[in-house]
Parts: sequence; C-alpha cells; structure tokens
Amino acid sequence: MEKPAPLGFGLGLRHRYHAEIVKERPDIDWFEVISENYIGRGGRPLAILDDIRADYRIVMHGVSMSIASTAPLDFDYLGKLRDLARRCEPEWISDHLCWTGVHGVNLHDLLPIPYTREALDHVAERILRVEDFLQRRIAIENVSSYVTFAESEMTEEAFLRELAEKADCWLLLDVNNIFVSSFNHGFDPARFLDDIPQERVLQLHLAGHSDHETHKIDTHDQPVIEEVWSLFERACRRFGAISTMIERDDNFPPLHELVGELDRARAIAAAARIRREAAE
Amino acid sequence: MTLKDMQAAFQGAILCGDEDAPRGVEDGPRLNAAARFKIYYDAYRLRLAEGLSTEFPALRETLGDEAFGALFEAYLEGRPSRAFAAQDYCRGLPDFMREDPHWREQDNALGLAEFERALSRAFDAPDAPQLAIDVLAAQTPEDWPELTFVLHPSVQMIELPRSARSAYALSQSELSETADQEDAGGEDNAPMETVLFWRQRDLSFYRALSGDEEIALASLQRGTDFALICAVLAQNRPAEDVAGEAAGFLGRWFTDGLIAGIRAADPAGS
Ligand SMILES: [Fe+2]
Repeated sequence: MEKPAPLGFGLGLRHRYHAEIVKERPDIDWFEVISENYIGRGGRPLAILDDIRADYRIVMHGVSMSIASTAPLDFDYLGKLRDLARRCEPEWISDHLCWTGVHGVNLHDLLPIPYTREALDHVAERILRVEDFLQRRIAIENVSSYVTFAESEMTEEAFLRELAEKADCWLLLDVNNIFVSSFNHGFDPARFLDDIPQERVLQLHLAGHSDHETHKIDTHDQPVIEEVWSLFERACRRFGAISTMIERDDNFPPLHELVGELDRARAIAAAARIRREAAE
Repeated sequence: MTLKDMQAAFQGAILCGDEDAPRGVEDGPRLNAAARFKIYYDAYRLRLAEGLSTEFPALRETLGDEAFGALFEAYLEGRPSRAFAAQDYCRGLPDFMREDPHWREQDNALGLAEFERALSRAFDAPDAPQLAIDVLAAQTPEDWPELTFVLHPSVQMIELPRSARSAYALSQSELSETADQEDAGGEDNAPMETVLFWRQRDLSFYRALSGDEEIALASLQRGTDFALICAVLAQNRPAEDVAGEAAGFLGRWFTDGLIAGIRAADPAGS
C-alpha cells in the first residue's frame, strides 16, 4: 500500500481569497476544496476551481457522503462526485466518519455514531462500495462530537484503526477535532493519536474552535490554539511528513494570517522531524 | 438498540423540536445528555438559518427578523432538506412559499424570494461564451432573416410583482455585487412585470423588460429566427419601425452578454 507523497502545507480554498491567491501567489502548497461547493454548479465557482487547479494540486473534501448512515448510499451524489473528480483530478477524496440523515432527509450536520461492532461492519462495507465506485481509496476523517452513546463498545481511535484496516481506506486526522472531542468527552487526546496506525494517516486537518466552557464546538472561525499546536507536534513526531492543511470557514482573517499559521505548521513539522530522526 | 433505530431516534428528536436527548445518549463530564444533545439540535437550526439569511438577505431585511424567523421555522418543519448541499435546500424556499397556504398569499415576499433566487442562479449558472456583436458582421445581410440565437445559461425571465424589484433595490442601497440596469419597463402601472436576470463578468444583473423586448427575447429563446421576431414585433407598430427596434434589442443583448451562440440557416435546407 503505497501512500501518495505528502503535498506539504495547504489551505481550504474559499472564494474570498481567490483573487489574492492568484495575484500574490502566497506560500501555499496545495488546496482542499469542499466538493459540494462545485457539484452541479457552473459559473464563477467552477471557473475559480479550474483557475486554481491549473497551478496547484488539490484534494476534494466532502460533507454529504453520509458513510455511516443506515440509509442507502446515494449514488446520484457519488456519480456527481466522480464527475467532479474527473474534471479536477484531485490527489484524493475524503469525507467524514458520520451520518447526515436517514429517510431521505439531510440534516446538513456531521452526526455522531456509537462505536459498536455493528457500526464498524456497516461503515466498512459502505466504504468498500464507495471505493469500488470511485475507483480509488478514500480518506475518512474523525469528526468533532458532542455526545457519546451508551452502546459504544470501543474507543473512537480503536474504531478508526479497525475501520481503516477493514475498509482499506486512508485516515484524515483532524487534530482540532481530536482535541475538541477529548474535551467534550474527557479522554486523552495524546493516547488517541498514539493508537492510530501511522501507515493509514494520509492527511491532517488543523482548525480553530469556539470555547463554551462546558464544551467546545468545531466552528473553524478562530486561529489554531496552543493545545492543538502541541498535539500537532505530537502527530508530526508520530506520523512523519503528512499533508497538512488549515480549515477556516468563518470570521475570515486577512490571508497573510492564515499563511502565517501555515508557516508555523511548517516549522513545527520540521522540528518534529529532527526529533523523530534523532529518536530513531 | 440497532444503528438504524438510533439514527431514526436521533433525527426524529432533531426534527420534531423535542429537546430531550434520544435514548442511548450518555451524560458527559460537564453536561448531561439533554444539554449535549441540544448542541446538535441548535446547530441544525442555526446552520440553516444562516444559510437562508445568506441566500435571501433582502427578504430577511424586508420581512424583519420575526417574520423571517417564522418563515424559516415553517420551512424547516414543513419541508426538511432532501438536498445534499445546504445551499440547494435554502434555494428551495420560494417553492415552499408558493405551496404554503399562508405564504403563497404574501405576493411581495414570494416575489422578493424568487427575485433573490434568480440572482443566485444567474451567478451559479454554467459557463458559456458571451459573444460580441462583431459576430453579426461576419453574417451576410441575406442571412440575417434566418439567424437564430442561443441565450447564455444564466439568462432568466421571470414575471414578478413590481414590488420585488423595488424592495430588492431598497435593500441594496449600499453598493453590492448586483446592478439594476436602466429600467426599460414601467410603461403602465400593472402590478406585475417581467424581470431579466443574467450574469456578466462574474456579476449578476437584472432589469425590467418592456413588453416588446420581453416578446422579442422570449421568441429568441425559443429559437425563433430574426425575421419572425420582427414579424412578431410588427403586430404592435408600423412595419417601418420594426427592423430598427429589433436591431436595437439585439445590439443590447450582445452588449449585455446574453448571446452565447448564433446559427445561420441550415444550408442544406435552402
Ligand atoms: Fe476537519
């Protein structure tokens, strides 16, 4: 199983930054695009995507696969996803370990699942079918969650580990989501990272969240916080060079601030690499 | 509880306005099960409220937060999303209003909702060439009568209450990414008018159409050739004025970027 070479340090493509990116060519190695922003649309959004694609490598990140849903897979959606992939030739395609609705309804949220054997078998079987349909291995991301279920039979990290094996998929680890969920549910985020198999991790997400004292919410509207940076450092030491990007979806700062966060990610990764090599 | 039962219960609790946690949700270290579940319950509403406000800013401003909130709740309750993109769900609002016993009576609100959706659709329509008028020069005058045209995919002509355009313009008194071009309509005080929407240089535009321009453009959209468009216009005026008026319309449509293609008569047919 050959892991694609790391892409470096990227950013989520958001339209407000497009003109500046084209003009200033800031130090961004690659872009992650939200698949749903382009599916079934033309005009300016697609023109922007083509424009960026001409000069950068991209990854398609979706929110509607609903891979953990007990509703049938939506092959209409998957077909459109495949068409978009043919057009923009992403390095890979990812979505979340979650469900978005049942009975034909879409709640437009990344909803949590109990970590049971039943769910594991169910999700793995669906990933295999999606991978077969898309003709490529996909990456599955851990979400931020706000509830846990009495039925759960294993930890989230154990579930992800087994899932990656069973479904032969990649993992997209969202370091901020690990932190947010660990706070909300009271687990050790470092142990989570340590339980994830290195060879399955294809990409890392970094992001900010909002803090409500009793709980944290994954809002992507703040800078990455210190605890998440140090968790990222641990991830770099454990996983080596991994394609990393920052998600920012609201309360948008000037682009140079995000590029500054990327520079910090680069520096942390470089230092972690030295420590990793020294330890070997 | 199976995964299927759990998902049905979880979704049911989010949709039905029941703030109690569904069975199986545990207490957390700081929040009990109900408070934890409420994060999802609130997020669902907040996300779609934001989506609708983004898609229909003028409608929200015109109705005010209270009425817009009532519309939002009626929509969520009456027609939960079945679209895979939240934006597509939000854009279904005018269809819901048209069928809802209360909102279908609110002509002004419904018109404004349709107006804003048309602008968004123009913005997102597929790309196509926007031909310059020079392409006409390449046609010989003898070919003119049989020319047909293809409109740009962003072009929409929608009959709306007059209030929609004025309410939108009022809400946009600050500079925005749309422009109300010089008003060609307004010949009478009819309550309805046909508004043309299109995209040019990545911006959405709109303007009201006069009756003649509407007829001419609608004919062109159906693939009617230029001679017949002139004949249609000739029903309303002396024949000598018609060619000039039709040429004037055509010139403006090219300038506005409405024309994506031009076809001469099929040589095999002549
Ligand atoms: Fe993420």
